[in-house]
Amino acid sequence: MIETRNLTKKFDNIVAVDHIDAVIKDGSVFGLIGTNGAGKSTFLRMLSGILKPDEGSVTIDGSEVFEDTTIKSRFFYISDDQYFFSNTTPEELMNFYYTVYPGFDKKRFHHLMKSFDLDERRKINTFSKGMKKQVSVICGVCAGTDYLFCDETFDGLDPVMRQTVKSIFVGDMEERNLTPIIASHNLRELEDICDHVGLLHKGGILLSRELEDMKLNIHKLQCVFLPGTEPEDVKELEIMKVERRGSLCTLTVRGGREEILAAVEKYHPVFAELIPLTLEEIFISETEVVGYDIKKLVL
Amino acid sequence: MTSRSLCFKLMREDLKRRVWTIALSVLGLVFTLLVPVALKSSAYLAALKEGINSYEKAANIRRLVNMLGINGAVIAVLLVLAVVWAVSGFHYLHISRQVDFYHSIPVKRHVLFLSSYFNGLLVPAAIYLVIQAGSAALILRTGIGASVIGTLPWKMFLLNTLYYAMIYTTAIIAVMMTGNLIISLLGTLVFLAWGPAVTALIVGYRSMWFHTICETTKESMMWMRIISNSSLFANYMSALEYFQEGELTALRIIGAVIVTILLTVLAGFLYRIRPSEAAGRAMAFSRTQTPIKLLIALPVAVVFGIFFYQLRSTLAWGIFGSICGSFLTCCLMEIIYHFDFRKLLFNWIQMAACGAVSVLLLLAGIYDWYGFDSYLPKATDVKSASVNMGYTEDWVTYGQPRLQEDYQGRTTYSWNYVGQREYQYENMELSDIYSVMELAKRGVDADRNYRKNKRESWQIGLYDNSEMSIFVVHFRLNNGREVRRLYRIPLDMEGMRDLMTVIHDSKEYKKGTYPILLQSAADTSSVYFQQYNQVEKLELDSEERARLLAIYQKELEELTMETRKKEVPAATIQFRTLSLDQAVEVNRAAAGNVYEGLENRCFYPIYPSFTRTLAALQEAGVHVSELNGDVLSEINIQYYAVLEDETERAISAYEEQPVSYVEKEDIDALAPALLFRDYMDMNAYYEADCADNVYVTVVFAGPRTNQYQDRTRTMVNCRVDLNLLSQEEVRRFGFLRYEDLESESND
Repeated sequence: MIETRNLTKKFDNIVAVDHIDAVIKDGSVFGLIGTNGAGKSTFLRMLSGILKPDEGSVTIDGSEVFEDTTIKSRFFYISDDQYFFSNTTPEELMNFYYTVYPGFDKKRFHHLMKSFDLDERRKINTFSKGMKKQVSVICGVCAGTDYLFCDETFDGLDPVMRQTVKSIFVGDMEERNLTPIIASHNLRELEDICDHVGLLHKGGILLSRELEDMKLNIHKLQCVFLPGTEPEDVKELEIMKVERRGSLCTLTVRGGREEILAAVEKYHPVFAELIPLTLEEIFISETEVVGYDIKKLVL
Repeated sequence: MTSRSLCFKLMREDLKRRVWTIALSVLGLVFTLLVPVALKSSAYLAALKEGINSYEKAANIRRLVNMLGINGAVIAVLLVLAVVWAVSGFHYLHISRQVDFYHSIPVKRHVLFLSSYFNGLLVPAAIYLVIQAGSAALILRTGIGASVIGTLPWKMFLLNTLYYAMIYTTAIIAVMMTGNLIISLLGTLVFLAWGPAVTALIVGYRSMWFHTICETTKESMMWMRIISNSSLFANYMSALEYFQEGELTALRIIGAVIVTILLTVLAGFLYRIRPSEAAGRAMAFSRTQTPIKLLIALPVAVVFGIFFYQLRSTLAWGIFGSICGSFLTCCLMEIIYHFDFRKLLFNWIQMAACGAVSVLLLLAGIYDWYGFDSYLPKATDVKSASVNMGYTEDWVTYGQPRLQEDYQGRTTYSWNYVGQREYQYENMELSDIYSVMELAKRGVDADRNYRKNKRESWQIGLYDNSEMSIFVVHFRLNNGREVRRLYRIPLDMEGMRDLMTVIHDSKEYKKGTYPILLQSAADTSSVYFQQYNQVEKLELDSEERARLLAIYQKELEELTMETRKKEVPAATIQFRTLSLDQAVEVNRAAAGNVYEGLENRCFYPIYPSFTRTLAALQEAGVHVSELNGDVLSEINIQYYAVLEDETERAISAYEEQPVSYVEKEDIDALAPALLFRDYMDMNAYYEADCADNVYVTVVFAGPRTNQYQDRTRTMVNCRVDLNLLSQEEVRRFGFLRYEDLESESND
């Protein structure tokens, strides 16, 4: 289990990560989402032991990550702009990783490279962006680590490859309890695979919850109230957002399905219906609450 | 996996990616060492085939073997390689995605550091060793024996490798402390050059503003030592110099090894604490920015201040220079730190502070706020003093022979010089403190006047019409402190000449100036008499030598200023010590060309008024002759041309044909006025009125053999004292003074 406590990182006067407490359980997929500059990459780089926290700690099973090679050998970090040695080939890269990751599975590497139709002896710098990502992912899963830190790893992969990679992740999770931690902007991609989501904004964590819980705890309510009743009158509801289109109100509301419906029924609406939110809608709603409003950005 | 095996594996992986650096190292060393040695060897073999004499052969062998020793091209290549290996090994720290890659893998940072560090150290060293060995083998193939080459190649290899390691580690430290390639190269330059530059600036500042500063050779050597140890590059150069002279000590080597180890530890430590996010920044550690900026900006501001002050000699320009230097440097540093031109005025307070300090340093120098030049100890605090009266006694030789082995293993004597001032500080104890204090007071007054007239130390005397002389006063105080000051004093200052006479005529002054006065009879092994160009050894027993020495010492001790104003030495005498005699013999017997001229040192003047010395010499069978028509066969006078457009007093052209006077009548007329230049140089106080438009040589009577090789017949460079000629004779021989030359030129 990965745990961060009070994790803080500053770059000069900019607080990139601001006192984050988070827990990432083993065997699940942790999605790290956030606004631009929210600190996702910085958070991942601290998780990987690249950056030393200014305050707080990152531990894996109770041990500090920074400069602990035993702990570091339990994860593999794929950055959003992965570095490959100049003029190197996947085969040479494999040999390098084999040197530093004792559990590196060469056989599987060859198998996956073949499956992905990638030439092991071709120079990586002649590969396309997507092919480089594939090589990184293959190296990552073959490293045999418990955790895989992916920073925008799906960006650049075609849909088939994305599904393939997801399948590999799912397979490894089942087989050897792999825990992928994926930072991404592509919330639809994460929605398919993530069990748990951490939402970062301006260096702080807005929420960290099971995706299902998150979806069960926030809803879109479409309703038509009787004349004279306004959505704000429904005091029992924790309304995050109200949109009106004539008499039809669309509310984004926190709370469980039954709880919301029961609260609305008290006001005898003409029409009331609950619609589940996508992860993207949850992201927009949650960040809007803290002032990251699309209207403010566009208008 | 153990750290050690992982380190080796990482070294192997690292090398795979640094093949170009290996290739560069091989190419660099092959073309600066192996190829030149091969070329020279081939030329040597060809010359042997054609037939060369033993001297040329020895010279060829020496040149060939020396290529394995201090070889400038190899040293230059090693310096470049040190920086290249350092940068190529750790440049990844400057690139964010590379840092992420290396620092995310499960390898401890010190292992990452060591794997790159050892590659950059061991691989070039191995390449150098192989090429050095190959070059030595090439030389051996020419037939030159291994004993001739000796251990030179291996010693040189070890020395160069040690300093390679030092410079390499320094460059790594620069890479660690910065986050950009260009900045790290600039950082390396700063690390290697800052120390000598600032030390030179301190020396320059002192000599510029402390007009009366007077350093002993020991103190000057101390500054040289500081400069040579102020950076690793300077230290390397001085180590090479010591190696060349065969004076490189084990202590120095051990010191260099310790410094290299400490630097390596520092580099490793910096690697460990270096934040990964520093990649791409100018400086990796923000705390170092301000100190580094000020350490560069302040010296530059001081240099600018001095430079502009020197241009116009006005305070305003000096202040402008200081502020300008501070502004430009601070702005440049801020732009570099932020990679943003608009940040040039960031931290303007530091810039202002730097400017203010440099202006204060300038003002302190100009107005002697340090009080250095105006300082005079209280007369009651002075225990004893010594005075050096400029260049008046430059002819005296100080020091003794020293047996020395050079790096080629030859053992000969050279002269171990001691400075005149040092000798006087050690041996002169003037009891007339009052006169010395009066002299110093005049020196302080003179300096005050120079400052008032905005003259710098080097300008003093240039623009003053008065005759000026340099005096070094050395006070030994009761509290053990020693104070030394160098004064430039116009001789027309009130009482100056009287003070000089009093000091000169004292026995303490002479005892502290002429080493012969402290020489014992027991240490005197032979006596040589020299007149003009003839030197003869006196056949004396020890008692006679002792007697002659005592007589001479007594007369030299009693020599007065009055005598020196009127007389020029008639001959010179040398009382050789046991060590000098031995040194002359050893050098004479030594194989090869050893020219130290030891036998020409330590001659002392015999003035015509040294009657007892002259009488003793006569008893010993030595005849002191005078120049006249009987001893001279010819007087050649080369006349200077008067330059029409020359505004300075210097005259630099001869008339084409010298005039030779061979008639006895002419020689008899001219000879009494001829002053042998070497003897004149022994007496700066002689009041002569010399002709300035002639160069005179004389030829002694006797059979002419070879005009160019028979140096015993020709005496060169006499001057003509016009006081000893009548006006008519002066006109007849065409002698002119400067004043006459100038008026003639103007006409």
